[in-house]
Amino acid sequence: MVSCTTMEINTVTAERDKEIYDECRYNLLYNALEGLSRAVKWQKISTIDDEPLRNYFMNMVFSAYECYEKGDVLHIGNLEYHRNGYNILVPGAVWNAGLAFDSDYEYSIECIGEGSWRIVFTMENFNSAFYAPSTATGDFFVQASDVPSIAEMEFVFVSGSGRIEDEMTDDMGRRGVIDMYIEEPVNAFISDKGYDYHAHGISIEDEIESPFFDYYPYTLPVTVYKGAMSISADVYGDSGFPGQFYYADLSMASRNEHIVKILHNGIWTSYVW
Amino acid sequence: MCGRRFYFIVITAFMSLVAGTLSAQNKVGDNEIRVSYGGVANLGYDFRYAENDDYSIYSYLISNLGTPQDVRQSGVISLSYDYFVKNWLSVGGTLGTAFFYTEYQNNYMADPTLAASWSEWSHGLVSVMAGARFHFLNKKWVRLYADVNVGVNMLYARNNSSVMADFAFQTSPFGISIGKKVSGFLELDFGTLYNGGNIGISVKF
Repeated sequence: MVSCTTMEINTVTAERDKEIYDECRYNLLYNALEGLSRAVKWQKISTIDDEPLRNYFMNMVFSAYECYEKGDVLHIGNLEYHRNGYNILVPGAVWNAGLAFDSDYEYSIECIGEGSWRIVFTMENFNSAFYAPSTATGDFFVQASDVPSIAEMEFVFVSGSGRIEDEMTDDMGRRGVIDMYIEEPVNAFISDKGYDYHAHGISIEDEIESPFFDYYPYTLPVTVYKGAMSISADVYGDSGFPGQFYYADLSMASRNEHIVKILHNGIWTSYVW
Repeated sequence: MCGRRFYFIVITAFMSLVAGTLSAQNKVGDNEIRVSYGGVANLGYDFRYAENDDYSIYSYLISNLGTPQDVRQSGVISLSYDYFVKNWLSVGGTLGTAFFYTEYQNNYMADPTLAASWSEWSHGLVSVMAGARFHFLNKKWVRLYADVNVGVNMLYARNNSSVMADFAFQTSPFGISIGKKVSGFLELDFGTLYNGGNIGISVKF
């Protein structure tokens, strides 16, 4: 005998689960990948010996950015790479990136093997779902995928973690924290080659006090599929808040379909959006 | 016979009261302190907004912990001081406060039938107002009055360091005070802070 029960899903919880997942997808995975993606694509194209072909790919991939070299510094859109004399495709190479305008942004790329890099970054969390200041940090091991087009070059987040944290000081006693961990390798690529993140997130013409001027909706152009990640959300300074744990399974997702199964409070729920 | 006697006693008592008050008034330079309780405080804010007004990760997580289900309040407790600039006019300030107790249901439970619920003191309201009171009947034992007050209402949430402030306006179109140095009063009130009756004790010196 089979009995079936219907459980009413808490729709409030479902929206919160997706929001927490999206905050990690956009502000950790996108921010980790954008700097590496531009750097690797540029370096690979720049090694093409045939000049017309090299120019063709440069124009195609970087048509939306101002892209030029000035000494050791490589400018691609609003990102400035200090190359330290290295070719980023060569193991041992280290590049450090900053923004073309004042901002708390630190991004480093270290080539740790052929087609493998370690990404470490700290940045103000622009384009976030949270209007109040927060910081995004990450440390990831990323590999280039075997299935790219050069414009939509795919990478794989093999392992690593990231954190999004309120910027308020400890003495205020209340600080929200979201931690994300790569559990199974996650495929990812930048899906809009023309999106210059920092131009949208910040008004660069004006002297601004708040980085949230000219606020842009926070969906960012990264596509992720395969693999899995775990997320914990907690509040420091409030022992009464029960820390929340999520597990996002992307094994059903593809380049064209964002199907995510999220485990929360012992219940799996599938989402497509 | 009994009915007529009852009415005779009531009328005689009222006439005695009126006769006894004919000679008494508030005086310029008098000070008055009042303590009162009453009114149903208006809650013009969505609780989740009050929790969330700094749009931080902390506020997001805390406010999603529970949807307010049933809000109860303590009523408004007020303390005021007035100075008589005229026999018929006093001016001063009022400090009022109220506390709110909210029942929450845990939104983090995926199955709402299993969701835990709890109740806690969640918000407080503080108002600071300045006003004027017009005493249109000003006798030794009985005073009738009306007043107008303006100021600021401040709502604070237990789990949030931010305070939400808003303009406050409060008026009592009718109030009665009975007594001499120590009086009891009852009034009707309307405004942004609360609506309803207010009852209290005042001391004049």
